[in-house]
This record gives sequence, structure tokens and C-alpha cells, in this order.
Amino acid sequence: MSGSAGKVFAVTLGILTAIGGFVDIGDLVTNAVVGSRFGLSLAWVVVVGVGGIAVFAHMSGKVTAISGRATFEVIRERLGPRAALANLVGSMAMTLLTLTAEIGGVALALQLLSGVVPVLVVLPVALVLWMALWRVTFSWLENVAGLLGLLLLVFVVALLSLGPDWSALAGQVVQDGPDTGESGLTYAYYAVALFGAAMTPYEVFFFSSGAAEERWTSQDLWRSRLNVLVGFPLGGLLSLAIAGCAAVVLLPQGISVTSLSQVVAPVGVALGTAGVVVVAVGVLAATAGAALETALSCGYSVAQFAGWPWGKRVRPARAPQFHLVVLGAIVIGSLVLLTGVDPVMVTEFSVVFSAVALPLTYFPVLVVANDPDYVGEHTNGAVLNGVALAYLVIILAAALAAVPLMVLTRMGA
Amino acid sequence: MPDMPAHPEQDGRLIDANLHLLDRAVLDRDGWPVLAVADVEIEVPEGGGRPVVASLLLGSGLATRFFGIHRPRRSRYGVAWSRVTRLGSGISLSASRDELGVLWFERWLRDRVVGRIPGGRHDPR
Repeated sequence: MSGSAGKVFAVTLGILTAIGGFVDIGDLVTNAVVGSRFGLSLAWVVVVGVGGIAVFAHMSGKVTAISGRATFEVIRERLGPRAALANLVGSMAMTLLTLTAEIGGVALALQLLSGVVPVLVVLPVALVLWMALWRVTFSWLENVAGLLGLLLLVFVVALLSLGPDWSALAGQVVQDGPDTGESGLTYAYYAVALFGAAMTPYEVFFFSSGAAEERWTSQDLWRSRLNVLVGFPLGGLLSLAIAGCAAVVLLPQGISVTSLSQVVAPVGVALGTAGVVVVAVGVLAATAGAALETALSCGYSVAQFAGWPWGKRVRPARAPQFHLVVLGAIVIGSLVLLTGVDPVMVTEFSVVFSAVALPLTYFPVLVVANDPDYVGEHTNGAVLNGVALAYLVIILAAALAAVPLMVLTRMGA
Repeated sequence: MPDMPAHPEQDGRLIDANLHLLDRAVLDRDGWPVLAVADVEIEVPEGGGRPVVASLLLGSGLATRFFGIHRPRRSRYGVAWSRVTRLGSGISLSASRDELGVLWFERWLRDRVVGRIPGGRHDPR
């Protein structure tokens, strides 16, 4: 690959992980729900989450680029088979839940575009996703999902054209705690959910496995930095625009978001039907991209733990177990959706449990990013370690608080 | 693995079997994964002398750890220590994955299932 083509590739990879990965069904729903109930008073959580995923992905990309080992190979080496297996089961359950939510998101986006109820399109969607993973090279999927996912920037356009009272929005950003009759516990619950939506573990499995498959070396560290420093903040900005749209249109009317049509409603108010079509296609691309990434992440995690061959670039017969796991994950996710469960509900569960599962993978990666056996001279510096340790505290606090808050607030009701 | 202490007897380096062998990813000569190190077989030479690492026993750890299946010794995938070419973040072997003939399940899955689905034997486009 020539230098300039490589650069284009790296930028696209960054945009994909930012749009298809950072803004997925979890971000879309959670940001809109939070915007419609709390305005922008939880915007700080998105900023903290973007920082956290950037630190996590950077460390993980570095470990992979220098040692050649992907996340779950490292986790097994460091934790031993027992603890690593517990870790694998927790992370897999989480990623399966996210995959289910993403497939549901694709179905909901199709419902917006065509009016067909989600339960009817689940199987065709699952089949198309599986065929894409079976037959199409990843660069294709990446370019299509990445470019179409950029349509979600229409949330930014909508927010600007709504002409909101910027000083009022800024006031919400700096206010601490909720108003409008929401309790402090509910505020804390949505803070954890929003954090989980921003820092979803599969993004990191996917990022580092992609790097391993591209055979990154220490020469490629700049790519990791570029993806992390450009891609993730872009995703965070989009998240804020989604929350901002809900805060401007839905909050004053007392409408709290419970469906995807409400998530995109502010775009319709600002830009009309054309806006809704654009945003629905953007949602379709972002959720489909994330569904592909989460399905692959299931295969990556199990195959890396077991030492089976894995990879998207080789023919399926060379990595049969990997493809079996990917197929199994898609089947399980589809079966859950066929019960008629509300995909928005699945999404709300998935972001909270993503906060619960995060320490399982964050902690081992932090340890290995400081181990010269793996990263040679590129061990974390003092500043990065300071930031990474601060995030460890935040991540542990969110993980411990998530389930109690969920029970106490009855999922934010 | 930088800065390892030198082996006391030979001009080598000292490694910790627990830290540097167990559960490391094993790679074939093309860098393709071949399971992980599940156990290390150590032999004491007849007539005395130092124990030596005879072979690495490979396994995914999934069947044994997850389902509690006890694998009989003869069916474990042992790789002679002489085939190890490099110890790094992974353990490299001089053989290719196909030569080692690991995992009947993988062969079965490849030949009977994955290879039979249309497109299973073609590179993605």
C-alpha cells in the first residue's frame, strides 16, 4: 500500500470507528433520551466518555501495534485461563447484547424508511449482515458504512437551523444536577448510561483486532493517534448534537424519548421530510456498521482467547470456528429480536451493562500498556498513566453504581 | 523480551514458564494462530541431569475450562520443544498450522460445514 493510500485508509478507519462505532444505536437512543429529559446538563459525561474511549483505544492500539497481539490474546496471557474465561463470558454477553440492539436499530431505521414493523425485517437484515461478513472484504464495508454514517451530521445541521437560544443551552451545560422535577438518582443513572454508551467495550476489541489484521507495527502508531484524536471527538460532537436537538425540540414540550422516531423527530421539525430520510439512512448505516463490528467482535474475542485462526481478510474455510461464532452471534441476536422485544429497551439495557463490563477489559489493557515485554520502549508515560488511572477510578465507580442505580430508579422511569 | 537475566549455565536467557510460556498465543511459521499453551511437559533425562522442557501441550482451554471436559493425555496436541523458533509476545513454531494437524473439530467444521456453504472457499471480494 502506498503512503497516501495508506493515509486515506487510516482516516477512513478512524471515521468508521467514530461514526459506525462511536455513534451507534446506544448513542443515538441514550443521547436523545437524556436530551429530552435533562437538556444538555449531562453533556459533561459525553466529554468524559470520549476522553475515556480515546485513552482505552490508544493503549489497546499501541499494545497491538507493537506486540502484534490482540486484546483477548493479551487478556488470556495476563490473567490465566480461569479469570480470562470469566472475562470472556462477561464481555461476550455484553457484546451480544449490543449486537442485538444494533440489529434492532437497523430494523427500526428500515421501519422509518418503509413502515414495515421491525419483527418482519429482522431475518432479512440478519441474512444480509451475515452475507456481507461472509463474502465482502472489510474495506468495502468500511467505506460504505463510514461514508453513509456521515449523514448523521444532519443532526448538527438540524441543531444549527433550529436556531436555539445558545445561551440557554450553555446554561444547561454548566448547571450541575437535574432540574424539571427529575431526581438526583435518575440523573446519576443516566450519567452511567451515557458513559456506557460512549465507552462500549466492543469498539476497542474491534479497533485492536483490525490493527492486528492490518499487521500494524510501531510505525503505525501515528494512525492509532489519528483515529483516536480525530475520529472519537467527531463521534462525541455528533452525540452532543443529538442530545442538543432533543433538548431544543422535545424538552420544552415534555416529550421524553421512547422510540427511534422520537430520536429523529427534531430533524424532521428542523428540515422536514427530506431531513428525516437523510437521518434515517444515516441511522441505518451507523447501526449496520456497528452490527457488523459487534458480530466480528464476538468472533475476534472467542477466537483470540482460544487461539483459533481469525480474520476478515481470509477465506472463511481458513478460519472456520471464527465464522461459526460470528454466525452464531447473529443468530442469537436475531432470535432475541424475534420474540418481539422492543429494540429501544434492549439498547437501554446494553448501554448500562456496557458500563458494568468495561473494567474487565480496561484493567488488563492498562497493565499490559505498562509492560515492556509487550510494548518495549513505548510504555505509558507519566501523564498518560495519570489520566488512565483516573479513568480506572471512574470506570470502576460507574460499573459498581450501574446495577444499583438501575434497580433504584427502575431503569430511569 | 528485553532485559532478561542470562541463563546461569549457558549463553541464553532465563524465562519464567508460568509467565512466558503458559497461555501464550502459539503461532505457526506464517504467523497464523495455533491455539495457546495449555501445559508444559517436562522430562527428567534418564540417568539424571537437569529436567528439560520436552514439549508444549496446546489447547484452546474452552472445552476443558468451560465444560469441565477432561481430555485424555493422548489426545492433547503436543509440540516438541525443538520446533519452537522464537519466544516473544507469541511463541513461534517452525511448522505450518496444517502440518500440525490440530483439532479434528476444526477440520470437520471446515470440510463439512464452512467449506460447503457457497463462497466459503473463496477469498472475500
